[in-house]
Amino acid sequence: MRLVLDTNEYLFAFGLLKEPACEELIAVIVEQSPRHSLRIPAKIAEEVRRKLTGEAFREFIGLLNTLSITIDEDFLVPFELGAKYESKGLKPADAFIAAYVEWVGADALITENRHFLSRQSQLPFKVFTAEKSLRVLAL
Amino acid sequence: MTKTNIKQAKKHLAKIRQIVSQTRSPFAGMSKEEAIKEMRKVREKLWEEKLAARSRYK
Repeated sequence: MRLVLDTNEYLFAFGLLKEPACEELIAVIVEQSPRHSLRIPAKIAEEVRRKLTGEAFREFIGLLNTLSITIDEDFLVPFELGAKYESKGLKPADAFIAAYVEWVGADALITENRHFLSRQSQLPFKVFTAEKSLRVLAL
Repeated sequence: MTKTNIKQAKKHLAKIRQIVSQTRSPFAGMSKEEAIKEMRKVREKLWEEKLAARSRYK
């Protein structure tokens, strides 16, 4: 599966808040690499950077590089896609994330953010929590 | 991906967790929902700072 992990998944997986499912998810993705491909926009990378120390963020970049994951520039995502999701009620920044997920053709956005989870029926991609995604990835 | 790269990736992940465990979390004392709310605030702030000015649809 092609996946986009939201900022909260990375930060919880790294232990900034104890969330075992998030920790297990990133471990499974690494262990099964390259079975599942991760995509990440600069926006999410920047949000992760804001909450990590410089040293931890360097390790994060090292992790992405080792998994051959490149950070996509935000400006590549068509604005019209963002507008589409804003019209569906998402805040502009969340609309950008939804637009990015569609633009990269991801199968799923993994997030603990209920603003996405509650709009699952309006989105052309799956939205899973880490716990749910663990069950899906095990199939 | 080679086993070596997976091993290297695991090392990076373990190092991140080690560093995080030795540093006070910005989410210390928060519930999961409070932490998510805080992250959404950062998301909106960054959007305003970096992307809104370039947006053609805002």
